[in-house]
Amino acid sequence: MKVVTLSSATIGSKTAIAIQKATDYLKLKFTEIEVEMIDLREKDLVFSDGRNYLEYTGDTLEVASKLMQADAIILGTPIFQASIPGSLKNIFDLLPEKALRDKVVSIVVTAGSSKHYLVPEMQLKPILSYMKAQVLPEIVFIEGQDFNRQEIENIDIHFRLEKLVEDTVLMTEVYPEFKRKQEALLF
Amino acid sequence: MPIWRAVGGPAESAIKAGRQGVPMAIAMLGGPVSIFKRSVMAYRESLAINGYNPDDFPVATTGLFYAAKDSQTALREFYPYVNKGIEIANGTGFNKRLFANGAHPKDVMAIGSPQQIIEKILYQYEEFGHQRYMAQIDFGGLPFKKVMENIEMIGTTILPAVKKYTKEQ
Repeated sequence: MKVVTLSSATIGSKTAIAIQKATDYLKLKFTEIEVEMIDLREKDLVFSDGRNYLEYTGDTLEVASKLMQADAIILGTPIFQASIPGSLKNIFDLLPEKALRDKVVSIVVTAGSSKHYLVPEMQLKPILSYMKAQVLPEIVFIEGQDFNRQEIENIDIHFRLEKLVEDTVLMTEVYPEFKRKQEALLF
Repeated sequence: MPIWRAVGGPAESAIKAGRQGVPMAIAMLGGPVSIFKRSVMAYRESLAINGYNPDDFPVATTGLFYAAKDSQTALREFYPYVNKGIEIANGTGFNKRLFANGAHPKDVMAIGSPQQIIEKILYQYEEFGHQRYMAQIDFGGLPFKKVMENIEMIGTTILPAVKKYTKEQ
């Protein structure tokens, strides 16, 4: 099983801190799983121009390929201007239409205000659905006040991040069985 | 030299071919005949609107072709190559459910027994009224032996039956 954790903010630190936490927990609890964290602050991606993702080069090809090869993606997003950041939308635009088919995707959100709570529900989940992801219904929503000195201070967030990681792994484990039974009915 | 416009699924592409007044070759990877019929109709309508006589312009269809003793065998034998070929080309494989639908008589894919393929080609001929069909057999590393067997079945069984019917028209 390959899991990619993605911090999609190109500036700031909260999304990366949360995704690093989820990544650490994943590595600690599930040692047999191949885990890779992608931090978009460290990558130099070009804007999508409609090419097939295999035709890009450099960091763009590397990030797109890693996401395409993943069985599960833990997606970290900040909320900028009441929406997902352009850097995350660009990732979606770089990938094929049904790129997330048969992949489990779970969501971690960092936001400056609780008033942004429905942004991922209204703006991120429709995109993931369109791309055919198996999206976990529960998300982890983290506010600015949950952080202190570059760490997540609110212990409830730690609990919820751990549960999200566990559910992501469990769903990724059982999904192939669903797929196998679905395809066994075909030919 | 006649230049054909190659069009994909959406009708907008077929409408442009009609506007240009050029023959149309439509790529049909998979899906119901009825969806592609919309494009063929839109093409002819577009020809007429733009001052051309639709009867003067041929339509070609293109699609995956694989014949075996029955549809289940055909699906099982051909799927791994199609999946691999599409994966190499696009980075994602061919959805197995979509491929399985290909055996249905009203799906565009020419997959099944020679008799089933004859019926599918003729059904599509009735629906599209097209002049040419191009079969994609060699794909994703299909062994040459299988390609030969398919060409053999086309020559001995499929083509004579199709020609017999289309000659009467």
